[in-house]
Amino acid sequence: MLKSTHSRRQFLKQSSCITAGTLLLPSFLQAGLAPMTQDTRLVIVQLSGGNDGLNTIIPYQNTDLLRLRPNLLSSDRRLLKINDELAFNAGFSGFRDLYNQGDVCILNSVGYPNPNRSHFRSMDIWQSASPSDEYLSTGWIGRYLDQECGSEANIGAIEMSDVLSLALKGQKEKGTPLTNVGQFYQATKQVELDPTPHVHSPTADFLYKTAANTQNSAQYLYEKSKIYRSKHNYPNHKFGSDMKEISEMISSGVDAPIYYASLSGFDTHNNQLGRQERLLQMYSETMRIFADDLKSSDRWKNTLVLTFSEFGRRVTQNGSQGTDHGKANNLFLMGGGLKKQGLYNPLPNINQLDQGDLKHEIDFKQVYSTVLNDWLKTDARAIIKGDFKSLNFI
Amino acid sequence: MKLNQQEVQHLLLRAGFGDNRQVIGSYIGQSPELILQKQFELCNKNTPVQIKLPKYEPTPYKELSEIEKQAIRKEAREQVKALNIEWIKTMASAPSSCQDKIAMFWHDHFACSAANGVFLQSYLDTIRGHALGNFGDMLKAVSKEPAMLQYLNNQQNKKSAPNENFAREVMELFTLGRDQGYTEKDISEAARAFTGWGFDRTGNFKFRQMVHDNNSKVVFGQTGNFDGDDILDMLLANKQTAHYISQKWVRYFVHSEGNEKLEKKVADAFYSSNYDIKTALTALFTSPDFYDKKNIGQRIKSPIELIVSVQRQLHLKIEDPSSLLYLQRMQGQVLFNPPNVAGWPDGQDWVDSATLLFRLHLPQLIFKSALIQNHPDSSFDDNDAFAIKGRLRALKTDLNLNELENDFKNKSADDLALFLIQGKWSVDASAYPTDFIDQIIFLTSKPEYQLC
Repeated sequence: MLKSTHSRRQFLKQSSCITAGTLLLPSFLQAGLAPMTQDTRLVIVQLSGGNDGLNTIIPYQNTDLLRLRPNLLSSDRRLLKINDELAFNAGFSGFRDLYNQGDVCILNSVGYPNPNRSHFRSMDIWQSASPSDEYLSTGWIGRYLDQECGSEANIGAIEMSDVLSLALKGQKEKGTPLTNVGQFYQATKQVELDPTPHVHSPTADFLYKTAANTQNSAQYLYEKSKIYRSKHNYPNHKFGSDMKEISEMISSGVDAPIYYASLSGFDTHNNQLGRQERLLQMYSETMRIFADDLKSSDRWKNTLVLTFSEFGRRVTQNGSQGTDHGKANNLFLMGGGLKKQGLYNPLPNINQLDQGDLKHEIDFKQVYSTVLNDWLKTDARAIIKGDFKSLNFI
Repeated sequence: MKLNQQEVQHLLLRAGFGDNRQVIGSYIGQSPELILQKQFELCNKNTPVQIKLPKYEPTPYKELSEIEKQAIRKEAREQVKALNIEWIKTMASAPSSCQDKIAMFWHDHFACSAANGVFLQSYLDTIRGHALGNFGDMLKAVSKEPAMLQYLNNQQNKKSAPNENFAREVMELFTLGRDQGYTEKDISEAARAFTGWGFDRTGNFKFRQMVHDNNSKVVFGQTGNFDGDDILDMLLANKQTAHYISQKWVRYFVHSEGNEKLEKKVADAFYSSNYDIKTALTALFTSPDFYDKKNIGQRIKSPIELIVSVQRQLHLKIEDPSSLLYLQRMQGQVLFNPPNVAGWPDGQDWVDSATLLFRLHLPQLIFKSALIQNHPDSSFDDNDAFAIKGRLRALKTDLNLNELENDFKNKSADDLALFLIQGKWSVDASAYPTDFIDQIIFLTSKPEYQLC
């Protein structure tokens, strides 16, 4: 048993990252040389700013909720009711469709011990998967790349951004940030690069190697991602185009297992009602189209989407019809391969609060560990500190 | 020891943020002792980096209306941003940049951020003021800075409920270094000595006797009714503190792999001078090891080093706040916004595919006003002081071409390369473009320009 796990891992080591050396080979040669690729894809969606999960997945019959946050809930008529306990935010109709189709699993009360209310610190904790009293300069995806990829730089993970997040920084390996494959390719073309350094030092070699790998990755992505062009009509905002780009890469068979996108603006200290609903609608509409898109290319069953935010918000609304930084929050999983659909665990109990905040019941590191072990088929113990038993959603 | 051009550049790029060809030329053939002495003298004339601060608001914050609070927070954001911009401008324009380079080291060492301009101004005054002074004085002053006390939660450190954050970091990050013989018990006992160290709203240190633990403590095997200053004195008396700082200096200023012999030499000078920073750094920058060829041209410039040195070297000015924020954020280093209490990771950590492409393309943005294609992520914090307003189309830069051309009158492209690239550089003369500015773009676009 142990042996087969090991060989599986060895096999993945070769396959989950494309090395620069193989990139420039004509594709027919690559097909003969490269091992069969790993099929599963992980897409991470970060809702930045601290989404108010309690006003996203709503225990709407709880009378205390209305008392504590009289101005946050949209009118009863507009709430998207699922049953006599659960309703979705009015902006979440696309999400509701996915939920009804069994494409969603909602984890409630996710957080970590000794939570931090600073956006930056809490986001670092989520991205690095560190305990809250420890500082790591690598991210959990970065450490996954370190573990699974060889010594060559790779495109094991792609982030839809011009700046790389901590989550995708490893000790040796790093994810590739880009906002658009074509633009990324053009950017590498703008820079004229000699193949070898003119100054001899290990750091000069490192810079040239990184530059060459970047050019190769850009060229590979540019050529490969042209295979599938989405016919779906994504909404016209950056998050929509980011998810479209991801879907095209996945459906084209780009050999990177991990994609990372984010949507920001959730720091709703004031006038939350309209602001949050608009953002949730952007998210939910895009995700529904994304799922449809991957279904039509038959990739949805091998795709897992994990959506998180750095913290939830306080249960009681503040003086400006918004909410301040809170603690535990819900987390969404989507995909065609979910073992558990609907609510994974009960909605949060707002009658038992921790100093006005939702208590966490599931450590997010347990979610990560499950994804690493059971979806990406790696050994989470070297990536996430602490031994977390797998949850049962995939 | 007489320094040649590359060695002078090496010294001024590491001990400072580099200088133009004329300044470099004026030092060729001189000893490092003399050059350092002149640089330190120039630093004496430096003026404070100062922003306009708000008048003290007598109404307690809690009693203000939400609109008033929002206005105060907005003003505070503007101050934090203004201080960031003022400091970079000073780094780029001061006659000597040594003081600010060392202060930048201390900003990384005593990593700190605050949403309050008054607190940050005071913190910056302290690390700049003591940058080349006495480390013990600086340690004690920084430990009493409201920004630091707030950042490390010492405002909450009370006799009834001690908070260990400051006591832990002062040992782990500021003095002894991680796992250097102290115990968890030492930390919790030291935390008791720091109880009551706090600040008021106007940014003054306040020792709050009422919440200070006046009982006896046992720290590092000594028993007494210690207060915070006593703990800091005990940490300074331990030579490991001198050693730890010297180790960090050698890794930062000389080579990331360290050099035990040099670290020991610098630590000895530091400790025996009772923590005089100039004495210790003079030992470092005048040692033959510093000028060893393997140490020249192999350090990856940090984003701040890159942004500032390109201005100092090439008679360039970037003073537009949005441009300066853009440059910091695209490369992942924003002053007064370290990633965490441990400061910025250095070296290869600055480089990924995006930051490298950005750096290699930067000369086009600077010298050719190329249109900006890439943007930092929109901020997810409503109170982010470093958000860029609107979309920046191009960098606003001001190049003094006359001065620059004057620096290289009758000089060849090879001379330009010797000035811009550290280390043994060989490119066939035919590879260079003919136009002067194109030659500068050609050289500063090379990966080697990222090194110093």
